[in-house]
Amino acid sequence: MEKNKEKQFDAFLKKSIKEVELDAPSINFTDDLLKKLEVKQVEKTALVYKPLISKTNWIIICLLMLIVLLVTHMSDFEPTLGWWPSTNMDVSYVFGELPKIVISNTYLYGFVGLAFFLLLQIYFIRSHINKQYITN
Amino acid sequence: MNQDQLYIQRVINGENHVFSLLVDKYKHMVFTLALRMVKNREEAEEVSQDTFIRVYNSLDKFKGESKFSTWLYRITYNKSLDCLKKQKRTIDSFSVDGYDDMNFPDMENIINGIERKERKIEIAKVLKELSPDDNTLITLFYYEDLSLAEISEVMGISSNTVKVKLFRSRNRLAVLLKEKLEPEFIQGYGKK
Repeated sequence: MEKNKEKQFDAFLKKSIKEVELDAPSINFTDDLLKKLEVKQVEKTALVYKPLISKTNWIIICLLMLIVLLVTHMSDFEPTLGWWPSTNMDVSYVFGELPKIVISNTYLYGFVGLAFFLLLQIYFIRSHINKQYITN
Repeated sequence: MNQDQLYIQRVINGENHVFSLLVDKYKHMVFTLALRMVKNREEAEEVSQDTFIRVYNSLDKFKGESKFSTWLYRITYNKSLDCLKKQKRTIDSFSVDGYDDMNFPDMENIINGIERKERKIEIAKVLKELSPDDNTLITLFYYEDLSLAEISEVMGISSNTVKVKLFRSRNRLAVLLKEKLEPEFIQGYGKK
């Protein structure tokens, strides 16, 4: 008896729920959506990250570096011979007497530390700015 | 390949305007599902827009293993849940206990007593009173004729859980309908 009632109620729901019309969004729903999508598309293309040196260029640079290193290593290249300028070259006649700059170790460590934190800061600022412009 | 997949393929191939055909086809169902969950037109509109934007951005990831509509409803359901969570509103507003062993109302008597138009209005009112999850289950099962497996995919729960939840949702709907429809029937009956 109860099973019958359940089936009957089920049939009633199937019929009645379909009678209730679906709710309609605003008239401009599709147009608004397409506009939003267009804006997002423009933002995406405007914010495409283009590196200064492309991947191919990096590969070429690395290969060239590798070739230069290998060639110099394999051919026992000695920079003191041939065209390489002598370390004892006297340039005083061009610049006059150059002052000797003495850099203390403390200054050097301080400078290295400063450079390190400056580079770190650039990295954090860049990722922070990038996050602000990311659009899903 | 069905019509939806043809549209999707065309959008992926660069015919962006074809996406509006998909939107027009599903916007009513997406909006209804969202509205029955978040219960606010402005928020439902926003949820629906977000849903379609998400769909557009992920079209190339849609493999076609399930129906497009199932995938779309899943995104709608999740976006609606996000909206409810943002406002810290609860998903299940009814207590489950106490509805499990109820008797189904004798609908034949009740149905015959009211006119179709009136019945439509009353059912729409009752649906508004249901919790977001109950509403999703009832709409997908009785309106969209989705199978238990498809509903389980939409809601991210097992088919067995869907079965149990659907039974409880139906019970809750029965209680609310009985409360709404029976007095009118009795009143109308008394006048005859």
